[in-house]
Amino acid sequence: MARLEEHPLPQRTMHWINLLCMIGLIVSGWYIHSPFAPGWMGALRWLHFSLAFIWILNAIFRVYFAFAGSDKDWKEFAYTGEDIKNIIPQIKYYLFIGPHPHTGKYNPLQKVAYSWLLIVLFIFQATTGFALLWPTGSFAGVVHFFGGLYTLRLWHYFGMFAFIIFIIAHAYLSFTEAWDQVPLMFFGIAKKD
Amino acid sequence: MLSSLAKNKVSRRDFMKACAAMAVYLGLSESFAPKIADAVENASKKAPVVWIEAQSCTGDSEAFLNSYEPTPAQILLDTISLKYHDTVMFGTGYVADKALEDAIKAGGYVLVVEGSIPTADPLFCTVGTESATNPARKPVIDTLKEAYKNAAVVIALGSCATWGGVVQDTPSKGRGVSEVLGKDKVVNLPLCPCNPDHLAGTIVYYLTFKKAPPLDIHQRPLMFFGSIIHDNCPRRAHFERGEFVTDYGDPKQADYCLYLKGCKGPFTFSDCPSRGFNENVNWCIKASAPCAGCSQPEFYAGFSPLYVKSNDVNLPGIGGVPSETVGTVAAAVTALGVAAHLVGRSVFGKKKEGDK
Amino acid sequence: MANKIVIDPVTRIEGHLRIEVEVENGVVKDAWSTGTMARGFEAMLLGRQPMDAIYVTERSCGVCTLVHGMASSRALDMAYGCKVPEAGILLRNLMLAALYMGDHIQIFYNLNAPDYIDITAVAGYKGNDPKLLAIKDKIVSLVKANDTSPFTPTYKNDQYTLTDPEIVTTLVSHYLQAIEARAIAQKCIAIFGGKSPHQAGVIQGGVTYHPNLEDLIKYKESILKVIDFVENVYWKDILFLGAGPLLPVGQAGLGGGYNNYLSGPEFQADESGKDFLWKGGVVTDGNLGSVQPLDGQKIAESVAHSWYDYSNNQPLLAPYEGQTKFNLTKEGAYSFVKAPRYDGKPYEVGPLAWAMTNQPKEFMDIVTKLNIKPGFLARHAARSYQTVDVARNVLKWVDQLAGLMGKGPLIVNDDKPTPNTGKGAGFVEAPRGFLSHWAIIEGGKLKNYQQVVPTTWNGSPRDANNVRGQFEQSLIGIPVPDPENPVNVVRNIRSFDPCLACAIHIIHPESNRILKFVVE
Repeated sequence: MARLEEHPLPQRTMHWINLLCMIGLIVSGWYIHSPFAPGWMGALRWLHFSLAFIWILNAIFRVYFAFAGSDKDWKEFAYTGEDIKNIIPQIKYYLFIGPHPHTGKYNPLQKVAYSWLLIVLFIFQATTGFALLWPTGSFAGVVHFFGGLYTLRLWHYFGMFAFIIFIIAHAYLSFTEAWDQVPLMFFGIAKKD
Repeated sequence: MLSSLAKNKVSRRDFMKACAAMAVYLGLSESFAPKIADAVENASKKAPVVWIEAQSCTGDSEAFLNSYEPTPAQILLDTISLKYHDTVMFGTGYVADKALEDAIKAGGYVLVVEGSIPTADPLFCTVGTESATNPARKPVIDTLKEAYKNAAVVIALGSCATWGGVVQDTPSKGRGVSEVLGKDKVVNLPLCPCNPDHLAGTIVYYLTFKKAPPLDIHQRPLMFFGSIIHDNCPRRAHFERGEFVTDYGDPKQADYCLYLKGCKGPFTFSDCPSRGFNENVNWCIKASAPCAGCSQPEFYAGFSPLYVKSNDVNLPGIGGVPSETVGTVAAAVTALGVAAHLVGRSVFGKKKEGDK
Repeated sequence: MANKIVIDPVTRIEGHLRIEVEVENGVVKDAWSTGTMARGFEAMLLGRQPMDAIYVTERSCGVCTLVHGMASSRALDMAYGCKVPEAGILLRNLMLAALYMGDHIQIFYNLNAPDYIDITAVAGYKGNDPKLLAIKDKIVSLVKANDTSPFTPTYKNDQYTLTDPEIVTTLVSHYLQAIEARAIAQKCIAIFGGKSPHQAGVIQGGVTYHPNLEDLIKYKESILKVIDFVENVYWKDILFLGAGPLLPVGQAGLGGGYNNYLSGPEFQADESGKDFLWKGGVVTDGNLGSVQPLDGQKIAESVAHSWYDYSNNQPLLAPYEGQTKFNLTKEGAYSFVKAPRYDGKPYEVGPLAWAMTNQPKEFMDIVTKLNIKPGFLARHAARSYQTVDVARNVLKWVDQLAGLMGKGPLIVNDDKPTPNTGKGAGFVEAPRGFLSHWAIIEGGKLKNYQQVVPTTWNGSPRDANNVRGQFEQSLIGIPVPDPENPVNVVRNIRSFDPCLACAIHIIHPESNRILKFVVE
């Protein structure tokens, strides 16, 4: 079982919020894209926009907490020479052809996935989302860049699938590779020292 | 436009009222009324207009003839001097060609282009002869290049003249003015056909301020193309309630949202909901016809199919595939990968740190 | 000595047309009609969702708007298996009726009448009608300002040019009124179709819009103004000019041509699809006593002198056999227009063909009494009478629709899903003449699409047997005493109401298959 300080309370809370927001955004977004039952468009659009703001604020706080406060953890994501050396062994490990290399809390692939990849996806989804919400103002250039509102919508929609794929891979690896972390992450159950 | 009022000696008060209305219509404060009045009344002569039809259907000219305030007769007699217009002018053959030649030589005219310009081969559209002595067919693109040079302002009228419209994707590869002739001094007035109010408003703005009105990123006047149809749609409440037309034959659905019938209103910038067509008697969505997105550069090929809600993406080598399928397949492939990995895990076991 | 005259552009028509004539001893000896613009809609439509054809082909022409959307919808009615409900039929009739009136008014006053008047004669107006005096003042002031575009420059006057100040001023006033009358007619289409040109409301199965009583009242109020213009201005002007100053033109029969006439059924009277206001038919070699029923299977097109290629140089292909590709440098070709033939022969379509095949008694009596022969004046007379005939029937449909409204909510459409396979032909007797659209659906997408339009019939070039099209044939014998002033040539051509944007199209480059199709 994991120790409590591996995922302190603020991080765990933000992880919860993130998860719930994503589920809400995916369901409401899916409906807006192709309304599968009558009657819900207004409510689900309202939900989609509200959750989007919570989701983005939550992400900003998460980045802030990585650099500030007693639980700051940016160093866990920073790349070291060791990480670069470990990339190939880590891939070999996932393909069952090598042992798990010795790494810190996060292995080099996790570091990329949890920081840069996620941040890029967040910014992409937030930007395309804002451009869809306010296409006439300062986001007009974004709409133009994506070739109009129609294709912009499609990109935003594919952004959702990028998150779905991320969630599938993340959940699988968490449950198989770090099962001991799951009770802590979700319910705060930790090993007592 | 308003000069007919001025010259018909209506009361000064009515005339100023009309100018104020025009100011509001152009998205200006009413305090601009005197400036507009001045521009219209003191125009020393009628504004010369050269109107050239390339790959057109004449629908924009027809729409222009549907103007009602002012009427086309007032425009023709009082406001503009129509030097060349294929469908309206009395002259024909070399007489018409000569009129065009003279107008271009004099310069300083408003050039209105209707219809797309063929880029696959200039011979897809020829108008007139090379010269009085050379009867060879003259490609319209050559005529347009000459006319563009001496024009004071160029109005690309209708969807074809702006970005090719329904001709974009044909073998003749019809393209718009700003792509073929140049971007400077071009005002794009898309819609299929154009809204005659937009044409009148743009000309009055130009006469008043001697420059083009403020334009958006696609060179459309913001005063006409500043908002999304979906945001001002009279059927919006039904969209919010999730009430969609699925059967045109069902009277209960008569006012429902046309989203599932392929409406492009959410992607389209235009003032159709407030301005309408033909004296604002109706417009596409009000008549239960899904918006085709005809004011957008993507129109037509980018918005096809028009009557079916589709989110197809074109994949190289495969063609149109619904975006739902693309996304679901990508997610399914991931899930399969995960499952395969799970199987692999149980077969090969998990190598612990330090295992050999 | 023969003199070749090139008229390009032929203005005051829809689209880009070039006419070349060979004149000998002051008379046209030979003629060539050239459509000089092509877009290629049909090629673009292949592989697309079938309903796109309704939207795209509607844009074939902005003057004869509505009819292409209608023909396309009718082709899809058949392909989708839709049974158009009564209200859908009536709404389509009301829109088409408004188009007929607006279009024909515009064709005569705005596009054709300028060929017959000397506008400077207005200055000599001596009467005291305040409206006509205002026109005189306006024109005189424009002349003084040396700024008379677009009314000048023109060809010179000839013996048929009207110069009587009273007549000319009246016609100029009607020219201006006609612009507004046609705009009102367009508004009538928009009331049900969303907008006009390019209405959006006619689709397969009927129409999209569920009109209310207010819409119907609006339509009736507006159409009454148009009816008034048709009956009290247009028809009276035609009777006055035809029996008076222009009678010699009519009796000379200038611009007759082959005397082969073809028209389709129109204004569906009920849901059966068998009963029509106009039955149409086929008249060959001027044999008015024998009107044959129209058989769609006898329609085929040649590209022998058009800028397209057929594989194996086949002389004629039926609309469904379509296969063509552009060849802009083809030897011997001189037009983007194809050459449709009925039973191998060229036919005229349009109002004169409508009159010769339906033979309305009142009209036939008038032309017989005045001894007017087929030609450009007869074409104008037939057009005007056809408009009157529409005007006399339109209010009946308004009342029928009002009656339906009284019974409860209108059913305006029979909405059916896109079939996997299907085919259909849609015929419309349009203001310019017989129009047909042909669609084949495979895999839920368009496999082939073809339009055979009025101006393709009338304005075609020569076919594989070197037989001239109707424009070309009708020009033979037209007097052109002054090669600088070929005004009779354009008078004749304009009387057909050419529409070149419609006429030029291409069909499927690949489908070489021969598909048999029987028209009901």
